[in-house]
Amino acid sequence: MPTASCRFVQDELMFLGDILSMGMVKKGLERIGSNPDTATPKDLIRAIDVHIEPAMITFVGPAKARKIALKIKGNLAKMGAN
Amino acid sequence: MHWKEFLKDKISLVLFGWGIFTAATYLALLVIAPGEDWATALTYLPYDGSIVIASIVLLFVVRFYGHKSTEGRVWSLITIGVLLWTVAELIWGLDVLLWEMGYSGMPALLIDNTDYPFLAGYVFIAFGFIYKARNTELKSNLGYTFIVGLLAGTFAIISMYVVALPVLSSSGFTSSEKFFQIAFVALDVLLFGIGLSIALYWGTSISKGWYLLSAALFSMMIADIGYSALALQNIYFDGSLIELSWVAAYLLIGLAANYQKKLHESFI
Repeated sequence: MPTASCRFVQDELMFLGDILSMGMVKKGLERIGSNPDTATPKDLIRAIDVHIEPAMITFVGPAKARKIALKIKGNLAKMGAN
Repeated sequence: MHWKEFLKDKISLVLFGWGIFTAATYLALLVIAPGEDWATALTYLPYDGSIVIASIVLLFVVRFYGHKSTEGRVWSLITIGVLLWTVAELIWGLDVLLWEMGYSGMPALLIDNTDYPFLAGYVFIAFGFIYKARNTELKSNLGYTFIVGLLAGTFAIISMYVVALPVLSSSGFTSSEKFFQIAFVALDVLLFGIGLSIALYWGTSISKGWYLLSAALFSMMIADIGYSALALQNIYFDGSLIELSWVAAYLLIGLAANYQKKLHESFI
């Protein structure tokens, strides 16, 4: 069962389709040694930097990918602080 | 994703293989039976096969993305366009093959109106391209605008002198035939320009798929200009080598869609 912060990122990326949003989050977390069931907001921020944002560029271009990544990371930072 | 990896993919190999098979069939039939009706009719099999294979690849790509996702919407629009072209191509191909087999061919209502699904196909593909351009927040760039403007402008001028002006002054075409011949070439140039703009903006390191799509539209443009030029001189015949340019266009669309799918699959 994915953590709340993991589900949040998957929902934010749902514009890519469910296969890609879930798959990209999972692979991003795997690359930093985590997984959807235990991922913390901090893990997800690292997964975005390492994997999710570079992948998003190929869908929406660099400017929009940056904007989306910053928005998600801002919300994750707030979730981590609470 | 590296080219080598992409070229080793089974779907890419099928598309390349079909291209080689089609070219070989056209050349062999031109050598073995030049001008024979059965030989020209036979070229419709690999020709129509190319757009049918491209359509199947596109349907798989749409299924992968899902029609609700942004990328899925782009490929859904392109797929609807190509499916409309497929319907029109199959009507032509079946008509010729039925005649050759001794049947009465396709109903006149269908065979006389195949230009409409072709035109509708262009509209859907144009919407797909524009949606992608908007979604990637395509911004104007002086260098890219110059390259796209130079290429599209050059082909617009060529098509005006080779197609538009001679077609308009010709008495051998009806008004609707004139309209469609000019519209198809103009739409090829327009789509080539939008496709190339997206490809240049994204850059080769991010997505080569749109370069393949631009190459497909370039090939389509060459085919439509070539067809009009040959038809104007009454030297176009079914099975002409210029048709290989349409085949290349259809297979390149399939390759572009497959490239995007493989690229995005590598992220999951």
